[in-house]
Amino acid sequence: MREALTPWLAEQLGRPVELVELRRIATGNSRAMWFVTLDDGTRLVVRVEQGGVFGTSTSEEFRFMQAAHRLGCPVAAVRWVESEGTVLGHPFFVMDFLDGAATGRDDRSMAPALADDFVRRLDELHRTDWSSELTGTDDEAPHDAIDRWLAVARSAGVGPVPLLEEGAAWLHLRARAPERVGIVHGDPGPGNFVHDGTRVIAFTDWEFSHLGDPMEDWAYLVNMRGSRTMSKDEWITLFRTTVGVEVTDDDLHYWSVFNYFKGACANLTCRRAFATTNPAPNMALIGTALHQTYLRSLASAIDAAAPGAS
Amino acid sequence: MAEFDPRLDPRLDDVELWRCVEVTVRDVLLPALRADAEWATAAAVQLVGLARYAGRRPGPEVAAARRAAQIAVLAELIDNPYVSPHWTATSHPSDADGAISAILVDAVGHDDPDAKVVHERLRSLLIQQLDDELAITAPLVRAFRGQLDA
Repeated sequence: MREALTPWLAEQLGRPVELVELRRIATGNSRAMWFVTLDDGTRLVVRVEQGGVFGTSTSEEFRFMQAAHRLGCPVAAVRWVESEGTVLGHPFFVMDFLDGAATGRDDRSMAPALADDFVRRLDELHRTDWSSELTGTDDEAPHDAIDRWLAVARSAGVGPVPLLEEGAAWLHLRARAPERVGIVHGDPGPGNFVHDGTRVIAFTDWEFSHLGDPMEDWAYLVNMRGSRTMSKDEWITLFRTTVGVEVTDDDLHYWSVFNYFKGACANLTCRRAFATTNPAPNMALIGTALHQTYLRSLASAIDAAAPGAS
Repeated sequence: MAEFDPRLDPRLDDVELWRCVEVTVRDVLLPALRADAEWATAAAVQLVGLARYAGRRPGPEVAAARRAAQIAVLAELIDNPYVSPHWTATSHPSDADGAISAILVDAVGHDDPDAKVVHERLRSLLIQQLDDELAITAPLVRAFRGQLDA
């Protein structure tokens, strides 16, 4: 790692560099996160792909983080991207390290003031005019996203998964055009942002970001990453009172099905990664048990629809 | 724990090997990691869970039995209009996942009696089998979250 990264960073900076500190940070399954301190005190984070995990792309993540930063949204400044995987064996990008607190791996707590600020900043991300920075995406309608995630699952090489195929059909049948297309983070909530105790410093973990219906994020916050932070009703009330966003039961139901579907598809990629490029225990766990957990939640969420419907 | 009788087969068996991995990582290597070795600690906890799962999971006969149960239901429903386009008496078992997928997809959005039968017989079987598998893999989720089972 050090031997490959040092000359590459020197080339980007146009001067010789020494890595006085290089250590892996204990977070992130889709990407390996390496903390780097250079000889001049510059602190960076190197975010390295892990063999196609979650079917997400370093180039896209870099593009969305760069755009969000330019648009004034809370995100670390990204510096350079290596998309070919020729330097470290996997694509990666480099971003500035930000001081601040982040919750632990399994801590989903948020102080009330912080939750309030989090909702405001997420809403700003959704509402920001992205058209000057992001173009050429075909991911603006739910149908595109459904097909893309199903393709990710099919690429895992385990054959068709009936409950996933059913989930895709269910989502297509009930898809509605979004009221507004915005930057969707895709994985927002505790554990995926840095803060100072009361305010958001930066959203992190942008690998699922895309243009789409912001309802995806709100539902994700309520039913998934933020489900242990506060109750559904408390989240919904917070959205309404803080930023005027109304999340109906239908919205919540549809996008919860979508998020379980997305998670089940994304997690399945770890099964292939474990068998090929990344035989780490977290890949085995995500590709099997976590995938199954999401698949079960998907089926249950579909069953929560009108009686008799599947 | 099984009785030890090396006369039956003196080789180490898989259960013994996985137990060795589990105990050694949990009791020897994990405590020796530095407090700031967060990634290594997380990986070690996950490896303990994985080793425990590997040593205790049922054999391949479970997957075969589940597949047989699916095919039995497909055979029973062979005249169902949602099933018949995708599964016939000559269909091969290896095509079952594709056929079941197509059947469930066709039934989405329908609540006629034939669709309900698909839902109640075929889909319910899949979910029961998924629940059975989750009962086995649940410790892996806890390990993923950094929790060591007792």
